[in-house]
Amino acid sequence: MQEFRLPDLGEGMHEAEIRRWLVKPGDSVKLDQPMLEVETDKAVVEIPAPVSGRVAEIKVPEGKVAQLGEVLVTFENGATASSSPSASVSVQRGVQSDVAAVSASSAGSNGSGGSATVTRPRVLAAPAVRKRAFELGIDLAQVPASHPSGRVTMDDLEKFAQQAKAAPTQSVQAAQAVPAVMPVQTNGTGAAPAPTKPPEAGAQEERQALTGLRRRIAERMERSWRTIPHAVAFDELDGSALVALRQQLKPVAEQRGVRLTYMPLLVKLLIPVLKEYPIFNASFDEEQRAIIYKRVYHIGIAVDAPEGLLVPVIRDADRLSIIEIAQRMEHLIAGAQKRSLTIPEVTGSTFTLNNIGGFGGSSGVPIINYPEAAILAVGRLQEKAVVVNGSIVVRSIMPLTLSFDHRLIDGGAAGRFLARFKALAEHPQQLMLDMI
Amino acid sequence: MQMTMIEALNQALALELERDKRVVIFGEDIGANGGVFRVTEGLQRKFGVQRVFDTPLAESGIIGTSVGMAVYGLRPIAEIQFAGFLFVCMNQLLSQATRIRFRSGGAYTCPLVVRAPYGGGVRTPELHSDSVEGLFLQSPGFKIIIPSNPYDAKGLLASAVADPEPVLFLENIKLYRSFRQEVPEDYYTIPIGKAKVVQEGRDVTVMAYGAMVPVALEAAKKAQQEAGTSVEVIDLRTVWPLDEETIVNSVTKTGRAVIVHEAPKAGGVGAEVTAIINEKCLFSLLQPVARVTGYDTPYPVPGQEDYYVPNVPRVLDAIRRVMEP
Amino acid sequence: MVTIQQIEDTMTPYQILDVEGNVVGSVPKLSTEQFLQLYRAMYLGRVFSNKIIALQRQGRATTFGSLLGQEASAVGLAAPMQAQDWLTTSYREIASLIVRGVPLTTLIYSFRGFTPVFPKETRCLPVQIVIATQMLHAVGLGMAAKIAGDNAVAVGVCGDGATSEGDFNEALNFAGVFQAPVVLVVQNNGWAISVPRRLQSAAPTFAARGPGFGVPSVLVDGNDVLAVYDVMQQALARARSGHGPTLIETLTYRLGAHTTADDPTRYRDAAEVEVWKAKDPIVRFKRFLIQRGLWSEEQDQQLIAVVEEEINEAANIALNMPPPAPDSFFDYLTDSPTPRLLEQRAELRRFAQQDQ
Repeated sequence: MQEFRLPDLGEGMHEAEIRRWLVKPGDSVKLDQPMLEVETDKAVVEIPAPVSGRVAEIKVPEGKVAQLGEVLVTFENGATASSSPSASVSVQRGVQSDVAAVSASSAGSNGSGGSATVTRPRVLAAPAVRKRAFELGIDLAQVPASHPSGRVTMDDLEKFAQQAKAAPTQSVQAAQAVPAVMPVQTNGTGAAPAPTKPPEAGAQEERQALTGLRRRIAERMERSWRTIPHAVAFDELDGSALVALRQQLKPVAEQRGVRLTYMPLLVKLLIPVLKEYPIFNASFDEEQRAIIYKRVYHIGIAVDAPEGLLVPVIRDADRLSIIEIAQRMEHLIAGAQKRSLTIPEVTGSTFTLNNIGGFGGSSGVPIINYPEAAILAVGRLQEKAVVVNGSIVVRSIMPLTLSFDHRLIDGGAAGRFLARFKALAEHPQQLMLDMI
Repeated sequence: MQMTMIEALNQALALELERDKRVVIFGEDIGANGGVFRVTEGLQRKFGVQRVFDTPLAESGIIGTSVGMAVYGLRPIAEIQFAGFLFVCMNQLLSQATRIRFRSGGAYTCPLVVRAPYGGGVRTPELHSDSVEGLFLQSPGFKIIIPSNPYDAKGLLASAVADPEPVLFLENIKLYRSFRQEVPEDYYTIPIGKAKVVQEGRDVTVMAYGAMVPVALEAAKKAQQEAGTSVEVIDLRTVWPLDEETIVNSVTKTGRAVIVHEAPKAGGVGAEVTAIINEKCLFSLLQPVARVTGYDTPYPVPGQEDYYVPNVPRVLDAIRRVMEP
Repeated sequence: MVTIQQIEDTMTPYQILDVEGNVVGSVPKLSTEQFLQLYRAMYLGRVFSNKIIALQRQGRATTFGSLLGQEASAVGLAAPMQAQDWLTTSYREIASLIVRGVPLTTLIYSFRGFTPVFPKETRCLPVQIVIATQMLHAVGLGMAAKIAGDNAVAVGVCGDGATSEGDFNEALNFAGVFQAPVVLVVQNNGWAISVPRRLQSAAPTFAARGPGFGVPSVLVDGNDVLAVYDVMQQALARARSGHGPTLIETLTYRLGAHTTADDPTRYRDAAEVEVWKAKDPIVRFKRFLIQRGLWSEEQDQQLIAVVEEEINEAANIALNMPPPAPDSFFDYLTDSPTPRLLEQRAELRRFAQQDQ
C-alpha cells in the first residue's frame, strides 16, 4: 500500500481544502496524470499522480480540509514510483525558477522574521540537490546545511526528508515531480460549489457549509477584524486632473493594446505616498511586538471574482510604468475571474487598493488585508456640486476611505497620508519631478 | 600479434597502400629514413618513391599540395614532423583543407589525413611537445583523432583514410613505444567519433585521451584503493566530434566529472566538454566539473615539463575534490 | 676572387602583335573561328566585368575586382587548355573561368553573395581569396596527375602581390623538385591594391625568379593575346610531355580599381593609366583581325549587341534565382552531420522562420 500525503505547496501553508478529486478508487492512473485539485489561500493547485498504479482509497473527500502531511489517497501494492525520464527532464527547466519561487514566497510572506532586507540570499546547492529537493517538494531554505559554506548537500537533504516524513507538520511526500505551483485547468465556470444538501420541502431554513473561497475569505476577515484595531479616515479628491489625464492617455494606450482604467494611475500615485509614509507599507509582528517595514511595494488589487473577493498582487509596482501596471492588472483580473492565478500572484502584498466604485453605492469602509497596516478604498467618481472660492461648481469627485491599524498609525498620520495622496492625484504632473 | 603503437601504425599505413592505389604518403624524412619515429619504416622500399616520398622542408607546401592531390582524387596522407609545426601551415589547414568542400558548395572534397606526433614527458626541444587540438575547434572542418593505444591507433587510422573529409591524426610520442598490445594483423576499422568506456564506475566520470588515459586509469585505481571510489574512465579517442552521448550518459549516472588533457586549459577540449555537460546534464551534477590540464602558458622547457603535464597525483586530487559531498 | 653576376636588368617580353596590332612575331596557326573566339572571349570578359561593377553599384552584387585591361592575359592562358586540365585562379580571372565553361549565371549568382557550384567538368577550383594558396593547389593537382599517370596539366594563376607570399615560393620549389606537370602564371598588373610592383620584389622580373627554383620561365606581353596563347600552349605541351613546370609572367595593367571598394586615384597617377590605356589588348587584337580581313566594324557593332544581350539575359536569370535556404551552408560542410550540427541547424531554422 502506498500513501500520498499533502505536500508543502508553498507560501507557508499548513492546510488545504480538497476542492475536486479527478480520480476514484479502482481507477488506474499514470504517473503525472492530474489527480486532484486543492485550494490554499485563494489559489487552486492541481496535484498530479505521484505514481503509476491503481487507486485504493480516497482518504479525504471533497470539501474537507487536509493538514500538511496528511494522507490524501492510497495506491494498491505494485504502484511504481519509477521516475519517467521525460517528466524529470521537462521539469528540469522549471526546477530552478519554481524552487526559487517557493523559497522566495515562503521567505517573503512570513509574518515573523525581523529582517527588512529586500534581497533574499540564495541557498547554495548543487544542481542535482536542487532537483531532488524539487521532487521531494522541500524548500531548500528549510534544510540545515552541514557544510561550513552553508551549502546544502545531498546528505543534508535526504536526512531532512527522512525527518519530515516522520513529523507530518513539516512533511512532504517522496513523490515524483510534484510541482510547487501549477496553473489550474478549470473545467467549470469556477462558481462556488453547490450546496451539499438540497433543501427539504417546507423547511424554514437551509444550511450551506462554508467551503472553498468563501470559507477562506471568512477566515481572513475574522482574523483581520479580530486582531487589528481598525480606525477609518475619510476624504474626497477632485478627479478632474485624473479624468483629463486618462482621456489623453487612453487612446495612446489602446494603440499599444492596453485598456487604461483609473486603477493603474492610482497605483502609480500611491507609490510616492507610501514611500513618504512608510508606516503604511508595513505590518505588525504580533509575537515579537515589532513593526516590519517593507522595502518592496507589492500592491494588492481587490477583485470581485465570481466565487468571491480575490486580491491579486502587482509585485514591485514601484518599478513598473503605468502601462506595465495596466498590463499586469489586465492579466491578474482575467486570471482572478478564471481562478487561474498562481500562489505568487495572490500573495505577498504590502498594501491593498480597493476600487469599490463600480459596485453601486458611492463609497465604503474596507477591512484591512491582514497582515498589512492599512487599506485604501476609492469610491465612485461622480459629478458633484462643490464650493470653490465661494462659488458652487460641478466637479468629478472621488471618495477616499482609508482603514488603518490604530496600533501603528494615528489619526494625524492617516490624515496626512490622505492629504498627500489627494494632492498628488489632483496634480498628477508632480510625478514627473521624481521621474528618472 | 603484440605490437607497439609505432608498429601498429606502420602496419595500418602498409595496408592502406596495398588496398588503395590512390593512397600516397609524404612528408619530411619519411622515405628512406622511415620517419623520425620510424612510423613509415620500409614503406618506400616496398611501395616505391612515386607513392611514398620525401618533400622539401615546407609545411605549407606539404599541406597545400596535399589539398590539390586530394581534390584531384588521390588519398594523401601527409606527415607533419611534429604537431607544433602545424602552426606553420595553419593557413592551408584551416582556410583551405577544411573549406574546399564548403567553398565549392560540395563539388570538391578533400579526403586528406594529416598525421603529426605530439605530447610531453619526452624531453624534446621547443614546439616538439605542444598539444594543438584545441585550436582546430574554432575553425571547424577537421575531425581530430588522438588514440591512446596500438589497437585503437590502427583501427582509427584506417577509418581516417576512409573518411572523405579532412582528418587530423595526432600520435602521442610517449605512447609510441611505451607498451605492446595484442593487435590483429588484418584490416579493421574503429568508428570515428565514438568514445570508449575503458572502465565502468558509479561515483565519478574521468575523461581523458592520448597519454592521459593511462594516467587516469592509475589515478582511478588509487582512488578505489584509498576511498573505495568507483571511477568510470572514458577514453575519448576522437576529440572532434566529441561523443556527446557517451559523455552525457556517464555524467548523468555519476554526477561528478573530471576531464584530463595535456593541452592548455583555456578554450581546450576540456572547456568544450564542460560546456556540453552544462547544456545537457547540469541537473545531475553534484560538484563542478574539474579540468586537469596543462597550464595557460606555452609548453615549458624539458627541465620543467614534469610540472606542467598532468600526472597521477593531480588527477587523484581532482577526483577527491569532485567526490566531496 | 669570385665575380657575383647580376641577372640582366631587362628581359624582352615575348610579343607577336605590337601595340598597334601589327604582326612582329610568328602568328600561331589558328583557324578563323579560333581567332574570333579569342576576341569574343576578351570582349565578353570586359563587358561582364563592367556589368558586375554596375550591379555592385546598384546594390545587387558584392565586392568585385575588375579585370579591365587584363583580358588578353586571362583569355590567352585559358584558351589553349584541354578538357582534362585543371585551373586554380585568384579572384580576378573570371574571363578564364568563362573560357573554361563556367556559366555566366553561376558567376553572377556568386556575386549576389551566395555559394556557386562550378560544374565539375570545368575542373576549375573555386575562386581563391586567400592570396597565393592556389599555387600550391595547382602544384598538388599536377603532382597527382603525374602519380596517377594521367595526361592532365594543372594551371595556377596569381598576381604580382602573391609572389611575395610563402606559398608562391613553396609552390615553385615543389614544382621544380617534383617536376610537376604544372604551369604557374603570374599576371603582373603592376599593383597589389596600392602597393606598386617595384615594392613587391627587388628581382628585375618575376620570370627571373623561376630559374632560382630550377623552373624555366618566360616573360610575355600580357596585353598580346596571341603571345600569351602561344607561350601557354608551349608550356602546356612541355608539362604534358613530362618536361615539368614553367613559370610565365604576363606583363599587363590593372586599368580599374583593385575592387569596388577601392579608389586608385589616391595612390596612382592618371598619366600612368593613360599610357596603358593606349596598349589596350582588345583594341590591338581588333586591329589585327580587321587587317587580316577576319573582322569588320559592322561585325563589331553586332558583337557588342550580342554580348550585352547575352550578359543581361544571364543577369536576369541569375538575379531572379531563388536564394539558397538560410541553413544550406550546413550542407556545404558535410553530408554526414553530427547530432550537434543537426541541433544547431534546427536552431538556425527556428530563427529564420521567425524572420519570415
